[in-house]
Amino acid sequence: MKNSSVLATDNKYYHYALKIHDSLREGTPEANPLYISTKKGVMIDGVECADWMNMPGSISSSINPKESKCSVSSVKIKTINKNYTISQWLMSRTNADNTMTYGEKAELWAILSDGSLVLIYTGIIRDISSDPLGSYYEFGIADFQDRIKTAIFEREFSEYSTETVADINTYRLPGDATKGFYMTEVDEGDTDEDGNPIDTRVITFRGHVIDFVEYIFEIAFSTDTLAIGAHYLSDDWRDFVDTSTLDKVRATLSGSMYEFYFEFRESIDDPYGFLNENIYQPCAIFPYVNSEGKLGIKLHEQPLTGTTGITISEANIITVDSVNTTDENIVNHIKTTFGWNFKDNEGTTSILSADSTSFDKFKILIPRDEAEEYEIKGINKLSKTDRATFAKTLTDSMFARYALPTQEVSVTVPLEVGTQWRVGNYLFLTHNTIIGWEGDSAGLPGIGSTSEPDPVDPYDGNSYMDVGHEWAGFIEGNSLGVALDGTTVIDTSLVEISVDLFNNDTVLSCKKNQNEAISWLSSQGW
Amino acid sequence: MSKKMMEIIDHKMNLKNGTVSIKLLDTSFTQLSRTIGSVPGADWETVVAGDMLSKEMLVSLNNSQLDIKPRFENFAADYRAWIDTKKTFLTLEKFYFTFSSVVDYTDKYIVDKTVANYNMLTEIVSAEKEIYESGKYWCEANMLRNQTALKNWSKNRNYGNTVKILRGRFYVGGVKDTNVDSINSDGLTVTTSIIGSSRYIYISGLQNMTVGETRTVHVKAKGETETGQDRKAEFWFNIERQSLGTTNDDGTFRTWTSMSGGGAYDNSAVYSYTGNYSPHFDGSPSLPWFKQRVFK
Repeated sequence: MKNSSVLATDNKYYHYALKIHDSLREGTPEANPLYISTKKGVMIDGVECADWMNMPGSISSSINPKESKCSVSSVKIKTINKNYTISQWLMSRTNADNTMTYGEKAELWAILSDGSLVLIYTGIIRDISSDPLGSYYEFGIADFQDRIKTAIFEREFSEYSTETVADINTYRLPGDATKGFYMTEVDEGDTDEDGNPIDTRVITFRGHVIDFVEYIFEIAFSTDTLAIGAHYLSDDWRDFVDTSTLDKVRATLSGSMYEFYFEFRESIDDPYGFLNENIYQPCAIFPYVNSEGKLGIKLHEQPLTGTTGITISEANIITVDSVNTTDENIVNHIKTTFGWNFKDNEGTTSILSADSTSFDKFKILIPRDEAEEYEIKGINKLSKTDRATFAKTLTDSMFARYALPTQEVSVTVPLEVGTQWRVGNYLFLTHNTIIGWEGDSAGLPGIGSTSEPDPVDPYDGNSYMDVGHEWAGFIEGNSLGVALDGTTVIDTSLVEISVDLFNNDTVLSCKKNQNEAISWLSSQGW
Repeated sequence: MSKKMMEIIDHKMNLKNGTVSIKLLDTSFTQLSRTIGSVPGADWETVVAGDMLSKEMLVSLNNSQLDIKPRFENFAADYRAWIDTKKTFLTLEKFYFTFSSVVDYTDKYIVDKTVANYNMLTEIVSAEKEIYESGKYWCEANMLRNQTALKNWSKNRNYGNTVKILRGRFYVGGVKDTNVDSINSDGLTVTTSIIGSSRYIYISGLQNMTVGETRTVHVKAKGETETGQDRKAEFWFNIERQSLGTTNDDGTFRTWTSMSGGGAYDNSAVYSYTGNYSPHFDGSPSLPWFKQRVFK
C-alpha cells in the first residue's frame, strides 16, 4: 500500500526532462527541437522524450540582495548518443541556415511523482561537447544573465567604424533624442593621432530606469550586423525575463525621480555589472531568478497584505541545517555620490549617512573600513532637491532592510515543495524551536509575530487613514521630510498614515507647507 | 504559534535526492503594505480620520502642488527680468529652478494596484520639499549672494556711508595764490590744499549728517594779484544728504556750489570712499526689496 504522506519514500525517485528549442523556426514544419528525459513515457508538447538523459546534478541560485547580485549556477546535462541520433540532430541544426544551436533556449522540467511537469530551469546553450567516440554528449546551459556579460557599444565606439552616426541611431540604438539611446558628435577638444581636431562620439540615454534595463537586454540580444531583424541568438529576451516583475517595479518607481540620464564615451565592457551598479543598487532593486528560471527584479520593500499563503513549518521541513546570527548582511554606514561628471567619470557631491539605531546597538559603523558606497550616476537631470531626496530614499531603504542584526536559517525541504519558490521570495517560517527568539530583545519581532492575522481583511487590502491597521508607510527612522537646510518640512515619522500628514495645518503637513510656500510667494510680490 | 517573515537568499536543488536546501534571511519588516482605493469626489483638504486613501484624494493633492508651480515660475521670471534691467552696470546671478517632482502624477495612481508604501509617499514628500526648498533654500541662497554682490558694488558708489571725502576747488580771480580767510565748516571737517593758484577743499565727516539734512561750508577766500592788489571772494559749498526715498535709507550726497565776488570754483564731488558698504543694502533680501533699491 502506498504511503501517501508528503515525505513518503516512494516519491524520492524524481525524473527530469530537457527540451532544447528551435526558437527561430518554431511553428514551421522545419522546426527541430530536441526532447530528452531520464525515463520512458514522458511527453512534452505531445512528443515522447527519448529516455537517454543522465540524472542532472544540482542547480543552485543565490542572491546577495545588499549588493543587488544574483548568481545562478550553470547546469550540465549529459545524454547518451544512442544510434548517433544526437549527433545527427546536432549536425542538422548547426548546418541549417535559419536556426541556431549555441544561444538557443533550453528548458529543464522535473517530473513529479504524480506525473506532472514542473519547469525548474530556463537557460541558454553555452557549450556542447562529446567524448571522442561520440557515445555521449554534454550540454552546458547557463542562465540568461550570462548573455549580458558581453560588451556592448564596442562597434559603435570603434575608432575604425565606418558607420555614420545617423545609421547607428537608425539601426543599432533603440530610441531617439528624447528617449532611449542616441548618439551625437560633440566637440570636446579631442584630437586624432595627427593632432587634427575630431569630434567625440557620445551616446546618451534618457528614460525610466526600467526602460534602461529593457534596452540593455534588447541590445545584448541584438545582431552584430547593421540590418535589423537578423538574429543570431534566441528570438527574444522576453523569453528569459519575467516581464511582469519589470512592470511591477516600473509601477512602483513611477516618480519622475526615476527618469535617468547617462552618457557613454566608450563601450560598456560588462553590461551585467553596469546594470548592477547603476540601476539596481541606486534604486534598491535586486535581481532574482524565478521558479521557471526567468530573471525577475524586485525592490527591497514590504510585501502586500494578503501575502500570508506561503508558510513552511515542521510539516514540510525535512531537516534544519543551521541557524546563525550573522553580520554579513548588515550595513549602517552608507555614502552616496552623485552629480556625475561623465567625461571625467567622477561625482561632485557625496552624502554620508549612518543609521543611529544600528550604531547604538553595535557601537561601530559597518562596514568598518569605509562606508558602503553607492554611485548614482543617472540623476543629473533632477532638481538639486530631488537628487538629495533620491539619495535619502536609497539609504532609508537599505537601512530599513539591513541595519539591524540578521538571523539566517538553512532548511531542507522536498523538491515538490521547494520548486515553488526561488531566491528573493518571502515566506513565513513557523517552527517551534527555530524561532524561539521571538519575544526576546535581540532582533525585531517581524510580521505576524504576536498573533495570527485576521483571515478576512475588513479593508479589502486598501489603505485607510487613522484606523490602526497595518500600513507599511514611512520606513522607521527615515529622514525623508528633512530639507537641505535641516528644517523638517513634512513629519515622516508616522508608520500608520494619518490625515494629519495631509491637511492638518497645525502640524508639519502638506497643508502647512503649501500655506507657507504661498505666503512666501506673496512676500515676494507673487 | 508565531510566524516570522524571511527571505530566501540561497536555493539549491539537489536533483538526485529530490530535495531543495534553502537559506533564509530575516527581514525585520514589521508591516504589510496596502493599495490605494477610490472615493469619487474625495479632496485632500477635507478628508478626515477613517477615510480611505484614494486616488481622487491624491490627485487633488497633486493639483494643489501643481498650482503653486506657475506662481513660482512667474516669480522667478520676474526676478530674472529685474536682474536684466541692471545688467549694464551689475553682474548678478540669475535664479532658475527646474521642478522634477512637482509634476502631474494623475496617471500613475491606479486604483487597487498602486501600493501606498514608502515609494509612493516619497514622491509626495519630494514634491512638498521642492515647493519648500525652491523658495526658502535655493532662492533665498541666491538672493543672499546677490545681496552680497550689491553690498560690494556699493562701496564705490555715492551713498551716505560710503563717501569719505568730497573735493571741490575755489579760486579768487586774478590772484597769484588763493588763501583762506575763514571757513565755517558747519559741523563738517574741512581742509584745503594748494593747487597752482587755486585751492582744493576737502570735506569729510559727512556721516554726521542726517538723511535729508543740508550743510553749507562757507569759505571766505582772499589773495593778492601780481601787482599787489587784494582780492576777495566767498564760496558756499552746499551738501545735501538726499533721501533715497525708500527703506534702509542711507541717503546720497547732492552737491552744489555758489560764489560771490570774482573767481571760479569746481563743485565738490566724491574724492574717496570709506571702504564700507552702504546699509541701504542691509536687510532681508526679497524681490520687493531688490526692486526698491536705489542705484547711485
